Amino acid sequence: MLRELQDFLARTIEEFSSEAEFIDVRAEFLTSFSTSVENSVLKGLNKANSRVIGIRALVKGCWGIGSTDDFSPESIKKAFREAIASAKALASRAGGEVKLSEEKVYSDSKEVSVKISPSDVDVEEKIKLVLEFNKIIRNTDSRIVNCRTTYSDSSREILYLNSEGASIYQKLPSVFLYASAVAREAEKTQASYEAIGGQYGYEKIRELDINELGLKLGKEAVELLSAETIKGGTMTVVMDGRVSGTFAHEVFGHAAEADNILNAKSFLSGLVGKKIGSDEVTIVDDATVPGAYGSYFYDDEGVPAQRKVLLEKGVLKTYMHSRETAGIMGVKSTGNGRAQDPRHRVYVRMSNTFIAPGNWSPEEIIEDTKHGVYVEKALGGMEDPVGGGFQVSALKAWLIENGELKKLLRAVSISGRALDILKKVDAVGKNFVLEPGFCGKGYAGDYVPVTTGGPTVRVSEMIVGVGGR
Amino acid sequence: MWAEKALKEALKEADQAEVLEISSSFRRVLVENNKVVYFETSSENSLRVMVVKEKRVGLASVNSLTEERIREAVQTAVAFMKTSRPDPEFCTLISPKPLSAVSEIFDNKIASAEPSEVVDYVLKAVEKAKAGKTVITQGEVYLGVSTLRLVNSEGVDVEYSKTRASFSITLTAYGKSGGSESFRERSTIYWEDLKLEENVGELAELAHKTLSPEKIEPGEYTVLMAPDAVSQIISVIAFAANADNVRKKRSPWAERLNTEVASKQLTVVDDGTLPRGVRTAPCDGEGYPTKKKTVIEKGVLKTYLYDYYTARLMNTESTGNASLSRPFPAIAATNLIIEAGAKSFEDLVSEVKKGVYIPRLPPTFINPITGDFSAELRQAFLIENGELTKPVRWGMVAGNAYALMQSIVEVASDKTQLGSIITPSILFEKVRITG
Repeated sequence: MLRELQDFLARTIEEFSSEAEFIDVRAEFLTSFSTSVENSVLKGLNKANSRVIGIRALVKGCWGIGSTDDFSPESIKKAFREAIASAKALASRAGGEVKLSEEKVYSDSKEVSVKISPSDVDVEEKIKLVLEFNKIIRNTDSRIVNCRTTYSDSSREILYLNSEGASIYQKLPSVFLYASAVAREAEKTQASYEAIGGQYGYEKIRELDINELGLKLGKEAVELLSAETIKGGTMTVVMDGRVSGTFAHEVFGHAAEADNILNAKSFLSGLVGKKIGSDEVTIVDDATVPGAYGSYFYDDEGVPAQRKVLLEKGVLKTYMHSRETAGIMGVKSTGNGRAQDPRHRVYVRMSNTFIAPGNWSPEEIIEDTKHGVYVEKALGGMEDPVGGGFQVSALKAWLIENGELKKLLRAVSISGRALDILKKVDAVGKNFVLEPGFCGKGYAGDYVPVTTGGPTVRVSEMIVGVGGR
Repeated sequence: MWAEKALKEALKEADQAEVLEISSSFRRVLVENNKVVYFETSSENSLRVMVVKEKRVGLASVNSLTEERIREAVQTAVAFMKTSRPDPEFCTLISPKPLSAVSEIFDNKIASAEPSEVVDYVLKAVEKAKAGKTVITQGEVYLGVSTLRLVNSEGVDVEYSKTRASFSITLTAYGKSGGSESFRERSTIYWEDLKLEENVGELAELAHKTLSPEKIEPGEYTVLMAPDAVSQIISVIAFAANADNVRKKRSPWAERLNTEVASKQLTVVDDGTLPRGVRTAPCDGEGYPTKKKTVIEKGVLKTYLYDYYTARLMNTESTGNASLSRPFPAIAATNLIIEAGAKSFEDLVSEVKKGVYIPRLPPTFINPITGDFSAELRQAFLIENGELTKPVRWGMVAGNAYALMQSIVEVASDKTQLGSIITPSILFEKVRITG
């Protein structure tokens, strides 16, 4: 069926090619499975099967997109006409300046290879997994009042064709295991979570030690009940990989997206070639990390995925580009043109963005710290590419005194200005984690898979804020 | 038109079944750097089937509807139902109930909008930003139409159509010491209520006024929050009042019914029948009629928000707060309204000797279980001796959303419909701001 569709789309692009400067088509086929257990109750089994086709047309420097989930030839042609009409409606009123960079044209077919396809695994095994995982977590302590465990897998196939002759097929599978635990004692309630997964087959799930994972999570939620708060202020901050990854992604990464540079929305504007960080800090966006949730073979403009060193030993090397930003800035795309799905526009988006590992062991970093806080597990940060402000809340933190983790803290958040933080990075660990997640850009509904993570990183001075009662 | 077919097919094997069919279309215009860059048009038809037998639940959803794809989805759901484990708490799907009479949830102007009209509407806002010497660095305007049909084996059969208009705008003013970024989003049923141009004008003014902020002195302040900031703080109400969270002890308001959970100044209503309310509908996600109820009256918690599934387990009536998500339970607030107070915004400002006015907070994660949060101050002003004075920045509001609700001094008489939250400005005392 795909072959037929591919041929039909190629012919239709040809048919409409005289009406636009450039046309590309993305068709996405997505199937996903999920099942959850809350406490001991299995909350149903769920499968979703969706497909959508989106046409992007460039007319006089303006983009129009038409999309439909109706795969009949008439509907697809209607979507072509809508894309072109929309682009023309803009062109006649607003006038655009979009120009795409010249890129090599590919015909290719790529698939993430997995040992065990999740669709070949009996549903019964997945049910037993979430039930068992749930039981382990709840059995760690009687104060755990609520526990939810979720397993999900998906298969995403994307077809890309354009009026330059590109024709690319890629298949990206994924598996996930997620758990949250709520602990309660008297009036106090605390919660913790764990998320594991990426572009793997079911073998990744079978390799997990759910006993160890479950115990760790259950203990963490309960421990937080007796966590204390401290007075905020400026101090040394040691970030675990998930927090350092949030910094790399939210503050540095977004500011290194070339559209933010072009829109004067970035504090990194005009700094390529300049030393803006300490020698310790190298930041990479790598769309080729095997298994990582933010990886792909080609971006949504048919440009191959790449590993880009954005900041090398403190020196800013490059921005991330789509064909559109590369066209304006006279460079090549870095393969960062991504869209949530074929209904939505392409933006410059990150993939797997992290601080490259250094030479310290995480233990050495703590031992070497006289007074500060160690923050673990980011609970959501917010980008501020314009001002370069960084703020992230951590699920938990430890007070460090004379090289030892002394006191468990809750409701800690850290903040500072990116350019200050980059200069004050004085130790980078050799450990490394990547946690799957989604990155939003623009507003509601433009999410793409990414990972957040990296090594343990120490910053000699940051603002520590403390919420809570 | 597919819903009955799917239901019939499902009932060949299931004791009970529910089908949700949604057809939707949208137009979205994107602005970058004061240029209108993208125009998207999209349409979709999707269907979800839920089947139940001996308390075992199977679910499948599908789009791109064809007879074959729907049959496959039903078969998948049925197969899942057979392998699943019983949900001991599941009792039954609901039987038909009289629907709520609701009005003004569909705007013909959105349904019939020509692409050129939409583009012109957005261009006018861009002109407004330019005239105010600002740049819409990133913006989007969305117009959507959807028709929803919910049927179940017990006879529920509801169909209604809704429209939605929304915008999200980031607008920047540039000065000698850098930029100041304003952000706002609004969501309405009627296009005319969106008032994009007016909002852009206000955002431009705010961005200019906050171009040269001073560093705020850490300390405890009386804080006046505008509706955009208030909405973030009070969004935890939807979590804490959710009966499922209460029953499962995730909510700090478990066992707090008829006790004081907030300052006497606070009265909160959840109204699923509000004319022009973005979450207004004749029934909730289970098919139960929507209702208007007072959740907090003068600080006292009066009711939780229930779906039918949870209400039955807690020996009470549904409040019509089932959401459309599955599996059960699925509870959501509808239109959450903070009742206005007597004094105007200006009166409140004039009563503050030393405080901070916060037009908005950056999107902030508030842990709904604990209420803990800290949010960076990005655009804020000092209030000195009853007057708004200089802009301030580089501090963090650190606190607890539930504790903040206890420290409300006054609720202003102004009222803004942000989307599903409708709120006035609110004055809080003893708010900690760190450096």
